[in-house]
Parts: sequence; structure tokens; C-alpha cells
Amino acid sequence: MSVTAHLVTGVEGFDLDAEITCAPGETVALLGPNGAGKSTALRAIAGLQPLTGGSIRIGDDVVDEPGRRIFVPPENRRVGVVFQDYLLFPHMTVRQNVAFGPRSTGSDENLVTHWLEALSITDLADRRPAQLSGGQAQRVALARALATDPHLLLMDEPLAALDAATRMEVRGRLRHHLAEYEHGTVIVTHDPLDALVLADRIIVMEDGRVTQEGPTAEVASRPRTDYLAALLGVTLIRGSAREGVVTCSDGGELVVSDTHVAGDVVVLVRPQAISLHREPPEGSARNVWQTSVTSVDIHGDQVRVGLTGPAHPPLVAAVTPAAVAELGIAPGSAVWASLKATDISVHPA
Amino acid sequence: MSLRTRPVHQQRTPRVLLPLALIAFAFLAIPLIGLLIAAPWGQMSELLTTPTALEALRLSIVTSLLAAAIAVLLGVPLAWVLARREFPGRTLVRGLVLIPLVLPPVVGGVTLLAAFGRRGLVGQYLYDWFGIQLPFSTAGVVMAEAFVAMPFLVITVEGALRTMDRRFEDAARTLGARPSRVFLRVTAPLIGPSLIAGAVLAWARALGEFGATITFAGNFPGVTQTLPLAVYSALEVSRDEAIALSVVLLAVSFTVLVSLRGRMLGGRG
Repeated sequence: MSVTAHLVTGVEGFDLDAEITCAPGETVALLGPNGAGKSTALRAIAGLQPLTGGSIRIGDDVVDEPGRRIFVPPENRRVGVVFQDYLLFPHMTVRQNVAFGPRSTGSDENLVTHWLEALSITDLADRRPAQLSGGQAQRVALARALATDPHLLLMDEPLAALDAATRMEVRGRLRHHLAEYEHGTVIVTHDPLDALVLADRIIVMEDGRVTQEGPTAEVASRPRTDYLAALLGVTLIRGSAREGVVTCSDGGELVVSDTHVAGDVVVLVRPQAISLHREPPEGSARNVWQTSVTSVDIHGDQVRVGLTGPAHPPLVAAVTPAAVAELGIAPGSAVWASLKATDISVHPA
Repeated sequence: MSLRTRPVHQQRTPRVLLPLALIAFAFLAIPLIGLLIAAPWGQMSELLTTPTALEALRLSIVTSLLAAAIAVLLGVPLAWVLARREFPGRTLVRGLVLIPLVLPPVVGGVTLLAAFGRRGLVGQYLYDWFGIQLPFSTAGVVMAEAFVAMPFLVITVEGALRTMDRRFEDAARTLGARPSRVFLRVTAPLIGPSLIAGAVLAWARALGEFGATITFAGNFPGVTQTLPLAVYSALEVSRDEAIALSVVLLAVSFTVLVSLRGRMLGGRG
């Protein structure tokens, strides 16, 4: 199901006023710095933090609207939550944790077996949370949330508790599971990579307000706030990797340095890594294309140049105003672009 | 110059403290050793199997366990309300609840008489309407013991409810659990160690209760004479019997201490 929320709460001097929507089957990332109100927003949707204004609608049901004195407690909302450090009940086994929801509501316990299998944790069913690795605990937390057959899934920093190596693997697997989940998913994260890899749409929150919102690729390549520009400003490309070449979903190919990764990937390119030339460049860059300029935007002391061509996916290059003048760059002009394979980061998706 | 090394957690002892610490330890330990030396080990089995001793032992076990059970049954809900509900006068309520901790037990007995005695605030109606007479009965012993023991349970459990990670309760609620299920399946198990510690402390306090019991319930063998009361009575007739019963109580205290060593001795359980 979907969620449509206008969240207004003022707790302990912090004031949140944000509109958040998530369509069925969509994964939305709430991205923002610590203290931006992301977790408060998530708690409000879950019913753990009552609103002081606005309203929350899950599917067709209004679950919180102080103006009309409506408040549905969390146990009746059918919202699954994966908490930041998972909060698996330490005194229960994995199976008891996953079965806790269905037993609380008297609903179908077949879902327990289903999710234990789907997340490959059947072998861990008799273990206690203390005996699990971070990645395993994350899967148990996800299984526990999904076993209640929730109409909406909320995840609070689902990868923050993992070490870097596990993180990459779990991120890829999580994307796969979320793609199968029919209802909406809202993920809170302060890590842009999580948002880029996992989300269809990004809602950026700063200081309790939404500062930007849009499809992931658009937000990634056209950040509107300084915070986001510093954090992101990257071009996000989806594609499929094979032997060091990524065939991009939007057309074109990229030569990357990682020759082992295969299958669906998310590729990130920093605009600063792309060089523009008037003549065909000779050098070490593995990716060289003839291309044409679609847009020129001045961003502080950088100029972001949109590029399109038959051999490469749509890209953005960041160059200095001096370079723009020297190369005579304007929308419609033809230039050569080069990008080193080592400047492209590839993430399994 | 070489630096003397020592484990980081070992602090140097100020010279003045050490002798005083030794005196304090001796002051606490010598009476216990004295009791064990004075104990008539040879006649122990005869002394502890006199009808009076056996009655007192049986009565003590029954009443203290009942008192501990009442403390848990009523004290846990009270602790929950004090820890989780905001209401006007909460500080006052907590103060009243904890008074028996600092009140001289004899005064506790007097207050019980004033409330539940045959002409007391509540006692007169209990007697007039139902014919129930609590003072000088076994039920009175249980009441006196529960009165002094319950605060131990309440503060232990309230502290645990305040310090536990309440997000586990949030997690349980998002999984569809109603408040009573959250309490029974998540909160109670998570505070389990404190709940057990509080119950054992309350039981030990009930077992050792003397002042409130003798004031409110009297000292009738077989009806209200618990072990501590029997020790007191025996001192006048047979010092050996008093010491033998005391050894039993010491053994119980020692066992309680060992079972709670994680909390009371600052160890790691």
C-alpha cells in the first residue's frame, strides 16, 4: 500500500514539518544529516511518535490526524519496522522473534517459515540473537518485520550497524528483496550510497524540512542544496556488468576497473572525474567519447556540463568557468569527453 | 628514573584508609565468626528439631514465601506505574512507598495496628462486616512481612524499568502486540534478572522480619512465632537453641548473598 503523510510534530524544541509520500511497490529514501528529523518521521509513521499536526494516511486509512482526534496505535497499523540496531528480542530464538508478530495478531504463521526460507535464515532458526553476525541479524529483523504481512515497510538506517565489507553485500541483497515486496518501503539513511542503490525516489530532509525530492538519478545529479551537493553531486547509472564493461540501461557502455563484478549494478560517476577536450584526447583514460553538450549550469565555482552521445549514458561533467570559455562550451556544441575506468565506482544491485 | 607500573584500574591506597578499612571489616566479620564458634555443632540436629524450632521454621518459610509472592504480585504493577506513568503527586507516592525502607520496623507494626487493628481505620470494618481479625494471626505475620519487604522489590524493579531499552517495547508494538502482551513477553523477560533479584531481596527481608511482626502479630508459637521471634524467645531459656536457629538464618542470608553475587558483590554474575 501507499503512504501519504504530512508530518508535524514538535518534541523537545525540535520541529518537524515534512510531506512524505510513498507509492505501492516504491522504495523511498529519507536522506539527510543526523538530527534532520528522519527517524522522528519514521517513528511518526509507525505510530511511536504521535503527530501534533498534519495527518498520516496508509492506503485508504487515516492512522493519525490530531485535528480530527484520530490516532491508531502502532499495534493496529500494520506497519513493519526494521530498527537501526535491529532490536531482536534477546531472550527469544530467531524463530520466536520472527513468529512474534503473527502470534501477537493471531495471523498466519506460515509466513514465518516463508520468510525464514526467503531470507535464507532457516538454519539459524534456533539461535539466539547474540549468536548472529551483523548481516544475519539484519536478515532476521527484516524477516520479523515482513512476517506480519505489513502494508508498509519502514527501515531505520538498515545498514548502519554493519561493517563496510558486509554492508556492500547486504545492500545488494536488500535491493533484491525490496524489489519483491509489493507495498511501499521507506528507508531512513544518512548514507548517500544506501539511498542511491536502494531507492527509486529520494526525499532529502534537513532541519525538519524537506529540501529536495525526486527520482533517485535526478536528485543525485542535480542536488539543490549545499548539503546535498557536498554529499552527492554524482551521476547514477544503472546497468549490467560483464568482464569489466557495464552496459547501461539508458544506452552506451562504460569500461570499469572492476572486472569481477557481474550482473545488475549501480555505477556512480563523479562529475569532477570527467575531462572535456576540443580534439580527440590521447592518454590512459579507457572511456573516450565524442559527445554533445545538453546543458551548462553554473554551480558556485564549478560549471556542470550535461553531456549526451550515442556511445555513453547521459553524464554530467564539472569543469572550471575558464575551461568553459577556452573550449567554447555551450548547449549544442560538440566536445570530446574522457573518463578513467578507475574513477568509476561499481556497486552490485 | 623508571616508572612503577601497575594495572590501570589499581589506584594507590591513601595510607590513612587502610587501617580503618581493616577495622571495619573485622567489626563486620568477627560477630559472624563468633556465632559459628559458639554454635553447639554437636547438638545441632536435636536443637533444630524441637517442636518450637520446627514450627518456627515452617511458619517462617510459609509466611516469607507468601509475603514475597504478594510483594511481586502487587509490587511489580506499582513499580510499572511509578516508572512509566506521569501523574500529579508521583514523587509523593514514591516517597510513601519507600518509607518502610527507612521506618523502624516497630513503628511499621504500630502503623499496621492503627490501620488494621480491631478498632483501626480499616480493621474495624473488616471485623464488624466480615469477622476478619488480622492482628495476632498468621495472616498478620504475612502482612507485616510484606509491608517491610515490598519496597525492596518496588525500587529494584522500578530502576530496571527505567533503565531498560524501551525500544524493544516499540519493536513489539509495531509487530502487533497489545500492551499486556508487550509487558508479559518482552518487558518482563528483559527485566527478569532485576525481578528475580528484587524478589529474593524481598523474601530475605521478610524472612528476617522481627519488629513489625512482633508488634502487629505478637509472638505465639505455631501461629505467629517465626524464626527471628523464636531466636529472641529462646535467648531467655536456651542460649544454645538461639544460636542454632541463628546459624540457620545466617546460612540463609549467605545463600541469598551468593545467589545475588553479581549485583551485591559488584562481580560480573
